[in-house]
Amino acid sequence: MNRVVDAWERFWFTPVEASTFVLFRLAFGLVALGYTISLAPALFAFYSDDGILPAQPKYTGTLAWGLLGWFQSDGALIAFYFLLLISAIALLVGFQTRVAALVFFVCVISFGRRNPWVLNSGDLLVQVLAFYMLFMPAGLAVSLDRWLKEPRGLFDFPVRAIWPLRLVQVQVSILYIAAVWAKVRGTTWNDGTAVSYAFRIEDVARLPVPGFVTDSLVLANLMTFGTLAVELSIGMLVWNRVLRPWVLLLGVGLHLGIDYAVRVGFFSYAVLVAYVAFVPPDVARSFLLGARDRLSRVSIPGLPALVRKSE
Amino acid sequence: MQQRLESTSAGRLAISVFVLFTVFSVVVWNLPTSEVKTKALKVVRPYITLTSLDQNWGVFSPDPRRISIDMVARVRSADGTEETIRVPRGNDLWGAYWDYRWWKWVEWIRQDAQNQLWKPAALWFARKAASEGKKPTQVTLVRRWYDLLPPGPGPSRGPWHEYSFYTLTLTGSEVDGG
Repeated sequence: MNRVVDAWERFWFTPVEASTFVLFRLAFGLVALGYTISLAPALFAFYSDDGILPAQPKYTGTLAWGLLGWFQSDGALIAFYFLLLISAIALLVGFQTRVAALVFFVCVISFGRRNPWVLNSGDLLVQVLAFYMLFMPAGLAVSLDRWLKEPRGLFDFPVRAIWPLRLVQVQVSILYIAAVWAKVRGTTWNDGTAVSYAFRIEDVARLPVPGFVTDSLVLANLMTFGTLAVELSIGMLVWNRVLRPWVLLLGVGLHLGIDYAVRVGFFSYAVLVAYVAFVPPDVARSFLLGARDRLSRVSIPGLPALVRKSE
Repeated sequence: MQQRLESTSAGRLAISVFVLFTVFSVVVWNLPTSEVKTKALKVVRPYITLTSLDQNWGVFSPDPRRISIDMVARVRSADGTEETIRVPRGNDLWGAYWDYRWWKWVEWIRQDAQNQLWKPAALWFARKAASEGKKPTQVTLVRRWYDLLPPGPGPSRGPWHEYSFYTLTLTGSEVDGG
């Protein structure tokens, strides 16, 4: 029994440097900002009472909530949009990070609930990550919060329990296993033609894929079975320390390919944000310190270096 | 506060209950349709919907669509003219990051089961025409599609088809939002 408790403690409560939390916040903040900007062109068309859905759907029998269902004026819509925008920027720069995460979560869920007919899996993943973001001690370093409190400690990373990152890691694993499970029930994922169809759906196509790629049965088979293999590998093998970087690298390739060819919105980038939860703290620290050193060499005439190296 | 919680046994127990129930709920939500899922959903659905962890990773599943789809609105105006209004589409580089939501909506609205979306859509197209100085009197929503043929030798797609699935005759007050 003690061994189970010890294993549980190790898995969820191992103390780690906050560098991975910080890197996760920066990546999520970037996606959150892009996501928020992408809502602007159709803000009134999607979410106002003069738009394509005059009122929020009724979610009877659930605890689903959405503040845009309660505050329906155009003024409230604009206010919520600016709250979303400000919270995304605050997350990125790490200003009042916990409050920013909460405001972003409340607003992004409210937009999602107001018009669920315009959501794809990427929108859902942004919402899910916003929930996990609530528990991240991600403003502890490389943040305005830290700079205001202790300017010289901007790149010092305190130690915190790993469990919020573990939640994201488990979510990634579930995501891929569920995706493979859903696919193998289909016909075209079994006969190896699915990716050829997916690339030829004109309404969701993005940048051009050459005809010889989509028309070749052999290439279609390789891409279809390859997709299943990569997704299953990530779902299962990401828990193996040796194989983890390799399966995640395959995942990066898969998702950049999808982003190139298909209008999936923020799905690929949200998945890549989730991958950050697997970055070891020492690697995250090296990356952030390297970025600081590069930024410290950038100077704008008349202004001091953007970031100073610590003594 | 979180750090204080993590530093005590009682706090770690509370966090353990939270993570255990969260992981359990997400696993249940992602199970295939089954009796076990139906029963377990009664326990986890309130939590999942409250936290917005309701998720769906069935991208292109169980099969990608084997048709390309489009939808247009044909708007007839008081002066007898008719114009075709298309669903907004951005450029392939940057526009793809905002217009995909329109095409998700098109996937839904073309389904007969989602006919509650039809009238608001027709009104929205009418307002769009009115904002360009027209006096719309009738809006017809038209589904357009073509079949994708299996990969391999031969043509890769069939011809465009179209079908008018909803017509709304307008009064001025509706277009004004009244």
